Amino acid sequence: MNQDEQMLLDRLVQELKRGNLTVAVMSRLTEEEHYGYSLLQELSVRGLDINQDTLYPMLRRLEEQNLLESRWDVDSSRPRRYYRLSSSGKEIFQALVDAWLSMEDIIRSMIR
Amino acid sequence: MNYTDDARNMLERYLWEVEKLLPLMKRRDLIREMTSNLLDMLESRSSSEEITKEQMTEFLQEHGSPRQIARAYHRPEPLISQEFFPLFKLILTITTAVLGGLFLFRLLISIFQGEGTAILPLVGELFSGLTSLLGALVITFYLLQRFIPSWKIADDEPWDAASLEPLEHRKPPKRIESILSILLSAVFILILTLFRHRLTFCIDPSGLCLRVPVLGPGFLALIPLIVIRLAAGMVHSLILAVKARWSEPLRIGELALTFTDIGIIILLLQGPPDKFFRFDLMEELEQFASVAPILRWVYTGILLLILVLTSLEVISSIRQMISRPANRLPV
Repeated sequence: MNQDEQMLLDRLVQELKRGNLTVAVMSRLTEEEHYGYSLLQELSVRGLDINQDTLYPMLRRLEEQNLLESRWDVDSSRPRRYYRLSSSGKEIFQALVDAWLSMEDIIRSMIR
Repeated sequence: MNYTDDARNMLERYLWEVEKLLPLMKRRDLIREMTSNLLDMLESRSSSEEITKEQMTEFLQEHGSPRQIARAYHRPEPLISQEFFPLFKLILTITTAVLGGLFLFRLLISIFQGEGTAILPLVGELFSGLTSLLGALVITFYLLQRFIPSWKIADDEPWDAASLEPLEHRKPPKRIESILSILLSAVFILILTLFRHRLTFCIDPSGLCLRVPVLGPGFLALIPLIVIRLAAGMVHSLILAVKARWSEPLRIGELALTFTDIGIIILLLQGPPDKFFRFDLMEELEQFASVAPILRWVYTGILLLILVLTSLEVISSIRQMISRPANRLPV
């Protein structure tokens, strides 16, 4: 693979990742709450390394869409903003997972 | 985790550079969260007890330029795009300063000419001028960014963290200065409330000392306002002495106090000087007859001088609030 092809592949992989990122982020916020950096680490431990420039604005956007709710914790060593799925976020997440699984089945059947 | 002063000031400069580019409505909250996340990242990757300026530079270099960081928080189609916003802000600041200067100049002329009642229409004109200016600039920039190919932020935009100058904070006054200011205000409050009847001079037409008050009815009417201003100043100095650092509320408080000072000075200039100080009674005395007219001019001159200096102080405070934030880091 030459350099141009490699760059193109990188970009396509990035796009693929970006499309699935919302599901990944929401999945980590269904049961427990996370602040920005702890979520970044949680995703990284599970093999999904994403840039903080992508994650933090995404959390804000999901909150604006009422999929997440947040609170400031000022009792710890430094103030942190914790996020978790809202009730409407949980419903939408479930529907999103169903759509994702169905899409996965379709793609699998196509590439086999 | 500790930070050297240089490292902390550098981080504050970085955050300030990002903050200036964030969407106005939520920038405080965004920068608060960003600060918290940055400190978490910084501390998780450092093994040393203290973060130095060099470590901070390396970290910020990897983290990305303020423009790149702020870009992610902007909606795709803001009224004025992030690329144009610094230029918009610069032009707005310059034109507002010019308009404010013209207003002050016209205000001074109006006071000199004794047109006290003309101040309100002048304030109205200033408000209308500022509104038109803002509207015209927003429309111009909106059109500019639609028709001129915008200057985009590249992903690989060159960024040199070492070029960031550490943010120097304005030092709070020394405790002793704050205490002196509190004591002085307390003395003035006592004089103006309990002992104002003792502020007299002696008219001695026939060998008998007849005590005549120095303060005129205009000044007496302003005493409650002056006392409130002095008391608020005492509270401000006390908080500053206890906290020993400037915060946003303290800076806004200082600005409000200075605006009150300007208001009081303008009120003291409304009407003839005799209304505030009894130069007229002084003039009746043979020994003061020649001095009283000069004192009237001195009174007006000093107040005008204070008005100009206080207005400059306001401009400087606003400039500092724009260019230098108060300490925000929780470290």
